[in-house]
Amino acid sequence: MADTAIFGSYGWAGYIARVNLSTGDISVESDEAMQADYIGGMGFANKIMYDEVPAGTEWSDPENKAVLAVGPLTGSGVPLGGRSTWATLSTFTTDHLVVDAHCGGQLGAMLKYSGHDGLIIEGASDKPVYILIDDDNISIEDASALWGKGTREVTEALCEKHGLEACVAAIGPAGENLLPYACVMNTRSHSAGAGLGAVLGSKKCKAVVVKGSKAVNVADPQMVADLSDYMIAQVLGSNNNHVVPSTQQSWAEYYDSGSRWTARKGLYWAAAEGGPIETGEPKPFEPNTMGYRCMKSTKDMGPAAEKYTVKMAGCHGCPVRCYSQVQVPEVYDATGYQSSGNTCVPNFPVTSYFLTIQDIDGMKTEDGTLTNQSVIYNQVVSATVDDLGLWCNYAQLYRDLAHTYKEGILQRELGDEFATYDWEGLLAGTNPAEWVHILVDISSNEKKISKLGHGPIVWCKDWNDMEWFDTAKSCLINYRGWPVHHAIECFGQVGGLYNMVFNRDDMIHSAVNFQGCGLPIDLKKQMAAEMWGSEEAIDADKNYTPMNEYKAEFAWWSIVTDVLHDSLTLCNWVWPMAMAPAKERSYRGDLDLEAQFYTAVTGQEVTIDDLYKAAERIMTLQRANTARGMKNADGEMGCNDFRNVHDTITEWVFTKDPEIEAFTAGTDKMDRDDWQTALTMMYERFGWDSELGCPTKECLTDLGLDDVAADLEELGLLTEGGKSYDERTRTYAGVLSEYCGDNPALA
Amino acid sequence: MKENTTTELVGSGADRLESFFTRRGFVKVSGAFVASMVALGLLPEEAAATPTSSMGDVDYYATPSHVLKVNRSRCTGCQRCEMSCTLALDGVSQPAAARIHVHDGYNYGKELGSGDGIYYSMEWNVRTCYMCKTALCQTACPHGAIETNDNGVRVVNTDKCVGCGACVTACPYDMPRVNTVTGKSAKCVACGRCAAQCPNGAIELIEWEDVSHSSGPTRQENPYPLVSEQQDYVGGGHVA
Repeated sequence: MADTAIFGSYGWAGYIARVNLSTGDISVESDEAMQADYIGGMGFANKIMYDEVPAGTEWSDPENKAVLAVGPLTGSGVPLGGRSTWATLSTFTTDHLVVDAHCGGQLGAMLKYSGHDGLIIEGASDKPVYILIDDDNISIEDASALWGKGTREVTEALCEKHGLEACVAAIGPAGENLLPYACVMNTRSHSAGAGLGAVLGSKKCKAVVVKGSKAVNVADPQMVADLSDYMIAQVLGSNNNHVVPSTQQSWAEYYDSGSRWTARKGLYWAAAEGGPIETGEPKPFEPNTMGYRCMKSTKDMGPAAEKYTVKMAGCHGCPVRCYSQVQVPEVYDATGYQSSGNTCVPNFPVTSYFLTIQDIDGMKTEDGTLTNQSVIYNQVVSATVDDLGLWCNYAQLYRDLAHTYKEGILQRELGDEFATYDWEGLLAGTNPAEWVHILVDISSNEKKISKLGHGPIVWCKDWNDMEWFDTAKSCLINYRGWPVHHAIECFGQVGGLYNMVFNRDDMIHSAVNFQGCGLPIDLKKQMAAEMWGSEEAIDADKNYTPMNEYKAEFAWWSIVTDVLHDSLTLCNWVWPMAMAPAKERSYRGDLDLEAQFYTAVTGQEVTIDDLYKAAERIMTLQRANTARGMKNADGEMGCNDFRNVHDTITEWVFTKDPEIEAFTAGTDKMDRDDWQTALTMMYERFGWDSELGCPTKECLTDLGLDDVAADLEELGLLTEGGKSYDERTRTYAGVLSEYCGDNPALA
Repeated sequence: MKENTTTELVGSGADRLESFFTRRGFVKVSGAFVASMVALGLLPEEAAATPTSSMGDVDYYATPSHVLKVNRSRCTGCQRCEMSCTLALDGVSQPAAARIHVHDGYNYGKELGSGDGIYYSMEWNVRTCYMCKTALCQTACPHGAIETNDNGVRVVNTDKCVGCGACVTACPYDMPRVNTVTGKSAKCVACGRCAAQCPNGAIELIEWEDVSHSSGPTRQENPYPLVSEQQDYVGGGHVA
């Protein structure tokens, strides 16, 4: 056991750095008072935003802050503990309210190792600067020579100056130019989006450089190791916690072509140094083959990507290696960058999003297989947007670009600039470099096409195309400006509900992981009954039933687990462990693992229900913050009518598939009355006002947020009532324990 | 060669013993045994004439029982090896003090311009202790703090270590680290925890062999030019 006299507290570093770019003041403060109630990460960042950034602040004001935070499990050795969460004001959604931006890579772990759980960037500099954190030494440095540079060149220059081991989180031209769709990049291709890059740009903050040599102190290191071994051997699956292989394999009872467990015999990291490496058939109980399970390059880009695949990679501390690492010569020719690859939209922006609306010749063969040229198109975009620090609003940029081109909107609105683009070559599949031209111009925030980078709430209005929101192909799920992130196609009302709660796309994967895990629906229904109280919590795809309380429970669980992971910080793209690949445990996951790891790392005894309650507190706090700043129909700030103003699902979910009724096989269409029932049931599950959807006095008191209740009361935004915490809350601790006999914490 | 000739000779003598004894079965011998070996002409006379080491005893070792072998093309850069190392041996997660190094080369490889790292070839070095036959970390330690355990593995005695960093300087592979928190040096003890946690099987704990030249390339033969030296790329495209 580590010596606390030497190492300080367990889990948390215990300190948050504060850097004021207006005054140059740099200070460090304890976060001990927030630890129990707000955990870390999203919890810390949202608490600070609530306390310190007044409602009505513009995102570009110096009074706005960018708060980066990690949690007690970050960098501790707990699997998938390499994430970090930023909170700031949205640049691209209605009323510019508080949002979270998550990123992996190296940033979160390095911040922790520097001895900090967070970094508050406030004020604004009048000249380009970057923030250097080198353990206890924090400084504001001149970035004049870096202004105008892409994220790769900035990273290279700062690593040369401060050490190759430094983690550089930088903005590119998009952020400098205050384009609302700007992100912050670290480790080449890990982005924190939601406009965070523009917020840093408004502060003239080019980068945050972090070096850390300190320790994350762990109360019970042997238990952390034992729980990790247990989890990796039999509970953890592949990317998105898919637990069956995508092809039939001798060891596996089930397989599913949609699974991201894509390793198979005959499939190689074909461009590996020293010769191809076969992904083979990695199995459960083989911890040393875990990293081959997810062959993401060919999963995302088709068979032609195999020959370019050097390996996979991903975030710090994660044994699921989900990030493609490809070397495509034509990408180097077009961009100057040798390496590229991602695991999310930038891995397949053209083929999975642009092509849903506008065809490009040569992207697919007659049988629909993606071609070699499509790999080049995808990766030219990938390398370019990462260097520009250009975010896509979860692919909305590519759908909007395709739509506005196809419908003649660009031709109408761009004027002379329209002809400067080689649309013909781009759409003939012969000019991949034209993507660079278009994306650089969007990032400039000066060209007319830049408007696409302000989000649909801006361009749809200015270019008179508001009906785009009501079109299924737009994938826009909320009139406040964000698209689906696994919405109604994921368990119907459940996905629809959790797409409403934040001020951006939700990035909640707790439900979609379960949907796509590859286990048969009958088995999943048994598992749903164990976890959420009834088989009725889930439906088969596109064969939905009306809303019920178990779906509300599942939606609540999906939200609080996501918030919990963004606070601890763990990766919600794989966590929670609701299912497992091992037949020996009847494919059941282990819902207690977050709490057991928390206890092993921090030394504090908690149950998963304690952590879910903390996550509910964090979600409700953000909801209260949203109420303070949200404008009502008359444009007055301060609004608690979430049902009619915030949780406004777009019309197309009710009108799609006109020939099929809702709740019949073959459609994921929703029903209007049922949707209102769904909102009511979710509100009640959170203890929010069942009509308005805002936090009530009782709800806030139950969660220990009396000060927030007082704030809302003063603003006239507080209602009373709602179900009490005990009345509305299920117990999750131990619900799967009969399947978890090998769990070392239960021994 | 370093100035500590006595220990050097001891080391070279141990090398010569390899062909005589089962390599890993031989750990430590007594002074009397050394004398008899000298009489047989198997060790240089200096070994018996100056039967001393930094510990005051004669330390003749066979080579260590085990060593880590790596395949960097399989490494996916998760750095669980570094965290697992320090969790097992220090009770904390502290990659900067780990006895295996991935992080420092993850961005750009061995050095900027090596052509490696996530920004270029997507290869980087998994740097491990080679368990040298003549361990310069040990011979350089002015406090005799790096001792040999029963498996022939050199380990840091933290009671003796003063954190001077002589071992770091001496190691030709830049492997030992002086922990910035504890002020003590750390080096690999061949426990194998890093290998057990590697999700890609890129690290193996094997019976000792000379791995110093068997790890494959450590940089690109023809590295791509540095982005920062190619002034015509900004924001993902040719500026010119």
